[in-house]
Amino acid sequence: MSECCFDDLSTELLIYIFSFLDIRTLSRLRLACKRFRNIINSWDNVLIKSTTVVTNQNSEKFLARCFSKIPTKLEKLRLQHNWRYGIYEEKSLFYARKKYMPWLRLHNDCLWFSRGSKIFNYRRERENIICTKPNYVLTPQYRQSCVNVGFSSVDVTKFTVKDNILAGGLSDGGVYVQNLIDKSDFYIDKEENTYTCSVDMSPDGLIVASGMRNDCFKIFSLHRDPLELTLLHTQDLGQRAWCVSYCEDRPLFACGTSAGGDGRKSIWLFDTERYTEIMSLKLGHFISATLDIKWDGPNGLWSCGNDSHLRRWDLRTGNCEQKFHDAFGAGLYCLDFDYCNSVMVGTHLHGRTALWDIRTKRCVQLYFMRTCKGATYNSPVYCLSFDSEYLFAAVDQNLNIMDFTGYDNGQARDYVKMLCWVD
Amino acid sequence: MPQIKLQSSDGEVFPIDVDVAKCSVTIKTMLEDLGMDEEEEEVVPLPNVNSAILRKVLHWATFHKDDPPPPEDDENKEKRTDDISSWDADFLKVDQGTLFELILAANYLDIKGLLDVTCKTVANMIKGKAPEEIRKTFNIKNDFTASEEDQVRKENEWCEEK
Repeated sequence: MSECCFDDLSTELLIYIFSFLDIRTLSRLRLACKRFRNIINSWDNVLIKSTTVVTNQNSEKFLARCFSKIPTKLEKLRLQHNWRYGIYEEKSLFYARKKYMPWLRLHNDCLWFSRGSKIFNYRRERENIICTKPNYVLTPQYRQSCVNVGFSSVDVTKFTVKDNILAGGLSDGGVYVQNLIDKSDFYIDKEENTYTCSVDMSPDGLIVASGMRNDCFKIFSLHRDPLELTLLHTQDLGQRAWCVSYCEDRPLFACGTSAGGDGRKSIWLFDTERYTEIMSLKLGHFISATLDIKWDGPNGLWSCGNDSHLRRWDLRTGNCEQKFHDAFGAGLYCLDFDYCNSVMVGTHLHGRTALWDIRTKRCVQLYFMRTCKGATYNSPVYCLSFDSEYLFAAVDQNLNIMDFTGYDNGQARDYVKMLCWVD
Repeated sequence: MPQIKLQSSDGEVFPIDVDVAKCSVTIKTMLEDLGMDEEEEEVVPLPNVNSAILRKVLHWATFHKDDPPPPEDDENKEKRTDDISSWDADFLKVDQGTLFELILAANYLDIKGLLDVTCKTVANMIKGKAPEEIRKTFNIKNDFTASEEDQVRKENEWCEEK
């Protein structure tokens, strides 16, 4: 009988054996002896195979919307386990009888949510309800918790909040700005037969751009005292300007379009110092609207749209470097990114969102928004955002929050399994 | 069928088909790089493997010689441990010491298929066991102080049943 035992195995071999174990077993295994604990605690070794999603808080931009900084690596693993296997609690808030096209903006301390002619602001808080698990709540921030942009017949389309300035696009073709400190506001007048599809602002709040349904892309400068927008430049794109995003690392606006007209340019890039188009990106031979874009550093750009593809562009080459296809072929209405490995999209059907790990070709998980009554929505997801612990999705009648901070109660909603036969 | 001879650490010589021996990447590269002529009656010494284990390894390699090469590890995929074939499961009904020696031999000889199946077997022995049971199963001494153990227990709260 041989006397060989664990002591005879090298650290490399132990890591290899441990690589066959799941996180839960590994955590328990740390209690066996110090050697095991030390090897497993240096997670980077053992979990090198495990691709972390959503919990990588290594970007300042991502931290700016994270409710809490995750304290330990173990906590990180637990959360990412929850994201991966669909372990969450869902809340459906702010039920409305009418169907809207809402929009939201997530910050680390508050959430902005627009619906109809109002933009609401909620403070993000934890509330100790039955002393076991702190309950996550959204409470109205100000006594007047909402910004009313004008007549009730005018809807907010998309908006942004930066450096205490709120800027929103209006369905009558106007643009609304408000200084959140002194509450002064300013309108750009409405235009006939058009609406403002999207607005964005430079981080210092000095330049605002709007994309219009009537093919115009406009750039304004913003003065604070008194609050005023001055039109600097109008560009006729020859196609609808669906979404606008300002690059925080370069003075550059990107504008996603309906890709009609001549040249079929899907994304326009506009230099705000020289007011010149510097580049345009093309999807290919077919026409498909680009509905949302997000910058990823000075040279990277994420886009999604009606052709059910999520794309990552590299501006240095002008090419699409990565492409992810929605397995159900749904239109992709919105996207968000953690500035690391995780990108999420909201689709046009069934309140469905999907999480992708950009290092793999596979979808990590699907999350379906449910109604207050628990049934699955048939609504598009108009806007979504996430931090390491929560997913927020704006659907036609509700705002849904998925809370991934809980403990595994065996109720995983692992829908990604069904993709094995769709693929 | 050309044969080569392998010599275990305790001096026993095993004549074996070259095809079978080449399951071991270590032996395969040795034959290729050193240009050992298959015709010559040369003996390959394996100082890290004793005769009992080498016999087992060659038994495994003979059965698996026609297997397709194992796929590269996909870092992104959770590895399975429930896919051990019944032949392998029977083959690995050995005492623990032998199992660990097979891991060492598979690692030294670089036989990925054997390494995987032995490591999976050990992983399966760990799964579902409480720390105390693991120590008992593998004869591991608990070298924690009470406070160190408490610390780890506290960190583990999330993975215990609620």
